[in-house]
Amino acid sequence: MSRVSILSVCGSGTVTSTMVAEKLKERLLDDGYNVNATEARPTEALNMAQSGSFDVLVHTSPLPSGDYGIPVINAFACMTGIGEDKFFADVTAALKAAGK
Amino acid sequence: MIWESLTTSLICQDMESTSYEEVMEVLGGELTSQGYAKETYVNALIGREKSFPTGIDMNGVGVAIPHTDPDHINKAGIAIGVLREPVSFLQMGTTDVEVKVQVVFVLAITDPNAHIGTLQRIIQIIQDTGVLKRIIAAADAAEIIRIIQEKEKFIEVKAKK
Repeated sequence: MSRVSILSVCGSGTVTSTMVAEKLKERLLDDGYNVNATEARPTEALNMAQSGSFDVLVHTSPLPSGDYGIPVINAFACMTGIGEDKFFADVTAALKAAGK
Repeated sequence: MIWESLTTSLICQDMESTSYEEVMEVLGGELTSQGYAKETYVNALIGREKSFPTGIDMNGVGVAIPHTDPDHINKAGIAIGVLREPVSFLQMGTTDVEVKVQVVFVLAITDPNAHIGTLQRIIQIIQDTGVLKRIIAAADAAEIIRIIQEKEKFIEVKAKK
């Protein structure tokens, strides 16, 4: 079991990011990942992403532009269920690319 | 189960709103006047939707899940609105993609981490376009609650298998 930290970003840093974080925890468990998710607002996202504490950033809100330094993946598919498998595959691919 | 916490007094059908702001005023207004949310709620809801839209094109059926900071909430509740004519919202995660929304779930949530089950259940419900279409066609508010109750029963049975 590989431990990974995911930064989940949505407008309020609460509702949608929590929904996405929970889905990720559940689904990535099957791929052998123990997900530690942190929810954040878009305004905090850049600083938090640059802190070096996170492997991947997923978001359902527009993000301010900047150099996040970690893979940034749009999580909108988690809300519709359409393209959700691709979203999870993208996240695991990014984690693997990071050596996780 | 979500249906158990739903109340017909927080369900509005045949809404004639023509903008998302009006939708928030009606549904957020009900949450406020019925004690779920504070006086600041409707403005906060509109402001949040402007910056961080919540419209979702669910395979051809437009649904939105407006919500805002727990600071504006007294107690958890969900208001459901069905519009006579779809109203333009922006799609979640975008600043310029329009979605024509006909079903709105306004979420008054005090502590998202304490309501993870509720949040997941809401996604499961709104991802079913059949359920959304039945909600749009429902004769009265009680029927909307029954539709959600049936969907949840189905989810529970499926989860046990």
